[in-house]
Amino acid sequence: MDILPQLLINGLISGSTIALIAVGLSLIFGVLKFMNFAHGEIAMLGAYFYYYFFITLGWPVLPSMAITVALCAFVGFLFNRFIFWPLRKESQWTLLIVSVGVGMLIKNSVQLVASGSTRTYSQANEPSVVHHFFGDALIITSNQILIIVSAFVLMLGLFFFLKYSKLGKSIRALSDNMSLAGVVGIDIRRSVDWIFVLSSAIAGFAGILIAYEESLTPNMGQHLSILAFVAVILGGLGSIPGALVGGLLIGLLQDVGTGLTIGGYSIPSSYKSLIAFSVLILFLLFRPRGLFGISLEEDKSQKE
Amino acid sequence: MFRKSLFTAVTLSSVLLASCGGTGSAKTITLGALGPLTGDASSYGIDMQNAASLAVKDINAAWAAEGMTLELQWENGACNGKDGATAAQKLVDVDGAQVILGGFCSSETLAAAPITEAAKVLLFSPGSSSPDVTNAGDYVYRDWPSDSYQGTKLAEFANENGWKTVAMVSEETDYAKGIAGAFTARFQELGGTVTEEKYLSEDTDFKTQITKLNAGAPDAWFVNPQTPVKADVLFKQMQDLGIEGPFLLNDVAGTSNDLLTNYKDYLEGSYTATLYIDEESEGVKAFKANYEATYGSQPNYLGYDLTTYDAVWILANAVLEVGNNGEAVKAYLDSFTGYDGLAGHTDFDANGDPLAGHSVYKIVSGAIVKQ
Amino acid sequence: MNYFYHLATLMCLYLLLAQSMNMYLGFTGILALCHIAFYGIGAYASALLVMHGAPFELAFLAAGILPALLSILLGLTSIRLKADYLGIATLGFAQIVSSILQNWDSLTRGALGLAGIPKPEIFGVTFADKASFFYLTAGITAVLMFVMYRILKSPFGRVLETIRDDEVAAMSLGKNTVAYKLTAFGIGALVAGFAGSLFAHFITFIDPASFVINDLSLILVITVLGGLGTFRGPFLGVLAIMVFFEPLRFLPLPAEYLGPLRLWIYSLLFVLTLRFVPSGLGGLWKHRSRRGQQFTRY
Repeated sequence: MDILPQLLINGLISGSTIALIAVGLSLIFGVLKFMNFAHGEIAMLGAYFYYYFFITLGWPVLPSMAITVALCAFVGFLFNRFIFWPLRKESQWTLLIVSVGVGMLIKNSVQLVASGSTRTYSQANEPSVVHHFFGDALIITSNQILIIVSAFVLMLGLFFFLKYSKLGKSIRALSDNMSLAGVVGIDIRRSVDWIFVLSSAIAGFAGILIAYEESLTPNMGQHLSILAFVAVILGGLGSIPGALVGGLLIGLLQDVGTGLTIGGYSIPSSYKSLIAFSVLILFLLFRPRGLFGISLEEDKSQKE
Repeated sequence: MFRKSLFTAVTLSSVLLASCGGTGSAKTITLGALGPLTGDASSYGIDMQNAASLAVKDINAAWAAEGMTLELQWENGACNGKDGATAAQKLVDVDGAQVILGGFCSSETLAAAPITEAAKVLLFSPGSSSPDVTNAGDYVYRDWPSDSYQGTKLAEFANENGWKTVAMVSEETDYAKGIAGAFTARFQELGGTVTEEKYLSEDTDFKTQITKLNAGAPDAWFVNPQTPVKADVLFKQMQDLGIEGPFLLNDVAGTSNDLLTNYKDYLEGSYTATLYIDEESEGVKAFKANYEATYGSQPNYLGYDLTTYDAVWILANAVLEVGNNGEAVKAYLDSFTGYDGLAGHTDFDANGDPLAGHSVYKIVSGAIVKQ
Repeated sequence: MNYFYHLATLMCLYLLLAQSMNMYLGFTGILALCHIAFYGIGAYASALLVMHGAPFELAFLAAGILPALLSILLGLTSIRLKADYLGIATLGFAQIVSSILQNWDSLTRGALGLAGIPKPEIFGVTFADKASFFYLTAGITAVLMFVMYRILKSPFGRVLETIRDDEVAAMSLGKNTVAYKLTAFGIGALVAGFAGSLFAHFITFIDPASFVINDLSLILVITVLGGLGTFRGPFLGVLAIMVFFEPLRFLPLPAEYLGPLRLWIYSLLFVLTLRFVPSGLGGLWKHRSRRGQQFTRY
């Protein structure tokens, strides 16, 4: 039986959720010029908020999702207002290590309130609606279709938002040249707030999707952060389409790489996470600007 | 869920405080207790604590006539070596424990053993199943059988059923690994083939492993996770990918009430191997009723709860007879003639391992039935 | 009393870990997040060597040298990168090491871990009980601390601080900054490996779960709380954690809340320290800000 179609779909599912987190990471990097180590934790937080409203309180799906996304956006806003924005003039080094701490804080808060054990949404157990294609070569559930579709729709929406809306234009101007953007009258603080709100909302939503498909634990955030970093670096820093392509690539490489058996040899699937990092190290060595990024040589003026 | 666990914790602590406060002038014997009270394994630790508290309550009722009380001093081993060792050291030195119930996780027991061994303190685990515990020390006992029994039993069963190829999806943890190793060794000896795909504990998505294994069109599947939650995700993804049994399940996947209820139809006709428990016996029924009355839910891991309950009784009987002294209790357990408790008859071999092993069970409409 | 020795030994180990991390993170400004991997490699190397019959002295040395070599290899590929790239690459390295420890069954026994690691024997003397092991650890810690102190106070150490504060200035002074950074990184890994060896023979049981990224948090908290880039920082950090926070263990709270509560307090302190008193308890680190540079074009 040929399992390649199934592997591709598996990769596409995990890849599109990674891409959602990577996009937010890329947006934040665009303005504050640092990799937010806490970003994956926001996705984890989203998964837990949703658990609280959907499972513990028993709310219906849509209101639970709406309030989860709103809360994640608010948390992102708070952390920006009280931690990252006041530190914006510090070195990139300081921002990075603070974000590591913020990530720890979010994780430990969840651990304190919800305990460290793994959970699933499957108390609300209804059998998945399964679709078969090509005989049995490709099996996909409605949920998984929803994940892929919503990831692409969100990404498309974000693209048009950045391209055509007023706020989107000022965000782009900001990541292009912050002091110039200030000169032409863009409210920098407000725009940066919006970036955190937007990217945290997307991450929270991604967290729900991931937890639906897999499971939720307080440790998942770190793992997601790292995968999203790899995706961003693969796609090229600061590039939104790059983050999308990078995320999908990582998902596909992981699943197809460990799933395929070629000539009797295959990579054991427990080495799955190793694949992402091997790719990362290769890119850092040979093409640090990623697939779509600007070259580092052109980029003399960056903050170190 | 959040509220419930908080509520349990509060009641639990008040129960513990009450049992500490109510000693009065009676003679109190304190035993150490060590289990995973935080982290992913805490669900076991909390269950263990609950079962042990029930045992303590029953023992104190029985001892009332003699004016004696028993209490447990708990420490958190967090299911890892470092915390297990630190907790054991505190129990031994600060609390002067001579007899310790625990650890639960094998990592806790293995790291605590050198410390208790040096202090001649008796370590009695109701849940550590690593084959390494067998040789961990002279003062180390357990009433939970080694994982190797479970794997061997299921391998022989699979062979009798005429299955030649088994696809195994296995978590990279000590517990699951012990089972996988024993199963694979025995099954291959009997002429079968095992294809194994592993995943790490931090992994959350197993679709690739399942897809890859399914390509080999196996006769049967062996689902071998460390925790019920991982089993839940595995079952869901296997179900989504259209995998049909027969399934062999380790005792984590095969005996959790939640799973057997949630996946009642999917798991129908699967097999598991666990410690033999006579669920129809009066004692077990009473324990379950008592547990539910005290904690508001059915025990999550009945098997472990019963070995914990029995372990506390065995230790209590020992200290009552020979005194709260590690060496004396060891001598007592070495000349032991067996204890008939809720988990059946418990007796030890020369290594301090229990003589009773696992039996194969079939899952029939959400319950396990002995084969 | 043994409990005291037990805690004191752990304090020494954390002191070594925090100071060696401080060496490259605080003094040199290398944001590498794989300290726990060096620690784990040291522990496994030492335990495996002794269990296969090597003398402890040799195993101890190997436990330091192996991570040091690996750190230099890793540094050669990534130390020129910007801080966030380096952070991610090193985080990735830690993940790779953890993955290998779990997967390389024939060598590490995977998740089963290594049980029954012998106590160290040096020139015929066995350090079996808690007291003697503490004296051994304290002795080694004192020597390593002294060496690190001398390194940091030497001209070499001053170059490291210059690199942290202004790498371009250091280069213009004709310093080979990459070589300096690699050396600092290598020394950090070396000491972490030594600490790992002591840990393995102290607890006598190690498994991959003992060296996961989570445990990096505690080392980071100690280093940051004490004060990055100050020699006294890690001492103060370890003391603060042990003296003020270890007693939290005795609070009348159920352990399932106590553990997470402690971690939560630690991480809150971590963020607050960096946000409001970046110099930490050590208080000497010159807080640098680079006004005006961050608004330049990326």
